[in-house]
Amino acid sequence: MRVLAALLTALWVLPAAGVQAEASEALVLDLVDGNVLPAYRAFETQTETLSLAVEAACAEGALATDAVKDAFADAWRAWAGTRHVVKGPVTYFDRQFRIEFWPDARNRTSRALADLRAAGGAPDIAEAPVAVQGFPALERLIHQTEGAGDCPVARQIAANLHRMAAEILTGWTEGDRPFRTALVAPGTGAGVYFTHGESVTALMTGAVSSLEAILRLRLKRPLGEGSDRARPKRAEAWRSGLSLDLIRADLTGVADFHHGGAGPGEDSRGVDAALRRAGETELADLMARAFRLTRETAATVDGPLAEAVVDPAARAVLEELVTQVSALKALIEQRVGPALGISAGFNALDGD
Amino acid sequence: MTGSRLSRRAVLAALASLPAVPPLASASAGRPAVVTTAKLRGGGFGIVGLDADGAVVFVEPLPDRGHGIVRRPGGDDVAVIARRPGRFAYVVGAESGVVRAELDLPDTRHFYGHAAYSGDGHLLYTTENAFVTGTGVLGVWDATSGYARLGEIDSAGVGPHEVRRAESDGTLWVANGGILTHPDSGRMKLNLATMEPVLARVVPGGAEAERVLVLPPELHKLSMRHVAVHRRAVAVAMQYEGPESDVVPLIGLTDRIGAPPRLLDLPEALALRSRQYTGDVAFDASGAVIGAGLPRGGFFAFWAAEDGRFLGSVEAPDGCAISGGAGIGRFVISTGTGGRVGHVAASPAGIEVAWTRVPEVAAFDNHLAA
Repeated sequence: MRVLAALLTALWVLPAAGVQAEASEALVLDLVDGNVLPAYRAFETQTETLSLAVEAACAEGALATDAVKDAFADAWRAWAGTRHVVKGPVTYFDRQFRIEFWPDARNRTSRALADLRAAGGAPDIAEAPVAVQGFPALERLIHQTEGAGDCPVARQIAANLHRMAAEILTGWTEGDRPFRTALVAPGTGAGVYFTHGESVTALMTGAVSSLEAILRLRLKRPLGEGSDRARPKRAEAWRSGLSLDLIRADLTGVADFHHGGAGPGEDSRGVDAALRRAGETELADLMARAFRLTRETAATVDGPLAEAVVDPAARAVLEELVTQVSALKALIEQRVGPALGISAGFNALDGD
Repeated sequence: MTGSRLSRRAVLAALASLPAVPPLASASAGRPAVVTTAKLRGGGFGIVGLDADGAVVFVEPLPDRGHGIVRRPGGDDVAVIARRPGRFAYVVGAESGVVRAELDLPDTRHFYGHAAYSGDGHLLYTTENAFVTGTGVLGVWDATSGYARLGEIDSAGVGPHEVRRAESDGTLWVANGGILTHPDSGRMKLNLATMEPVLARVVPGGAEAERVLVLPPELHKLSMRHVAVHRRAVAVAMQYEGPESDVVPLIGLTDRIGAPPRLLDLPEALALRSRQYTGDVAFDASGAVIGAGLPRGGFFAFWAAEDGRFLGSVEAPDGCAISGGAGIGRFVISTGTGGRVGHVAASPAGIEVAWTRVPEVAAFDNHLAA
């Protein structure tokens, strides 16, 4: 009898566990192959275009041409479209800081860049101070240019950005321990994750921290406590006026992640699909609406962020955006996570 | 014969022959043996006193989440500090939980979460962020006159988190995590690329902290956050801010200034699970055993202080808080989510634990005072 009872329990438990595991694996595949890898491919492509544009302009004795400015904006936006990925190759060799050292309260970028300009470049830019290897340094060269004399340094930074983008991509897909395998085949010794649930948690953590960074760093710091206490130069990328574009690209990245890269009209994928599989249709619809509204609000802010934060009318829209991004973040943490069986530990996530 | 007179080797040998099941000291039932902070099942946060059986003796509400907790020597005050970047700190009676004093923090400071008393119990030191300049300080408070603020001293590093006093000589040890934060940005880490963790000390009555240990450049992302002291032995517990897949040492142990710290290893499977993150560290009463809470890995780990060898681990989902308990090899631990308290007996023969569920508590915080 005891054997039979055990067998009955097993029969009852197994299908449920099987469904859960399958759903998690499908979710990991959707997120990685549908969003993360395409985002990194776009980043690789755009940084290559940027590097070529800088080469071409410098060959003509110029630097801050329209083609370079456009390619620079596209590449930075492509980077923003990956910033919700906070695990894996982007963390190796300090790449996330080398690609974008920001916030930079002590203005290390300008100081280190002055040294680099004076030296006419670095023997190896990858060994130069972290603060001069990325977009904020290149932004100064292009948008506060000292002319074609900046070409040697700009070419190094642009080429190094492309190299890092390419290395991140290959780190995900190639080599002995591709990070993609660590996530999609957890528990096989390929990486630090033991279950698909852990892989999903690692990926979802990034989406939440990207929204947190939009709130805390990208919006609230320049907003300050009132229009007379706004801090426009605390805005990311204020020199190039790309601040809002980057926030929009962040939001697009997180929304695309949520949908597993599925475009409008395509079959549901990603977190959206996982919620629907779990019977959480209402929550899935709510999330889709929340992403749409938030992105619409971000699209309606006029002008550069550094100007918007001192304009009372525009501030009202930005504050609306703060509210919506906060709500989006709270929904993911408090509703989506639990619905997917992701439990955020009280102490595990404490950070102290 | 007392533990302190024995060599660590002898203590460890003696431990192996002790009864494995931790005693529940029912003699002290009804009196708080453990004071800690927690998220309460009924909602909100509080200071909780538990007797040796894990029964709740008192619950005192807190305005927000608490963090560090420290007993005043020679009295029954317990200081409770807000979780960073909080600004409240209370002193309560260890028996009653009743609030006796509230620390009045200057506007330009916030607490980092921990505090330590001077050996005579006259002064309380709190780790703080002077966030305008981004420098770390120790606030100094007069415990003999209602906890008036006397001043502050530089902590000799960015982001001082835990401060602990050596019982033997009164030296204060300060773990400067090296991570810059600002209240405008909540708990966001603003300087990971350039962070520099520093272990510093303040000699009794000293007016400044001196840097004792700075990690080599390749380990500059190992944030030293917690510290435990037994006589001359100092253990630092670290959190790695680099890639999750790097395997790095998480506990450093030193008993001689200037000597390189011994780095304590975990078996590989546990090292991978740890996510390179420790949340608390403690010595047992004899100094022979070091225990640490690894909430991201969901376990506690124990080592022999003598040679750094790994003794074993205890599974504890979301477990973090650990403190030396009554007796050699004994520890008290708790879990976050799930609200459990455990009594541990650690020895080379293995790690035994007896868990008690505390129904009033939704989740215990990162630290406890046993």
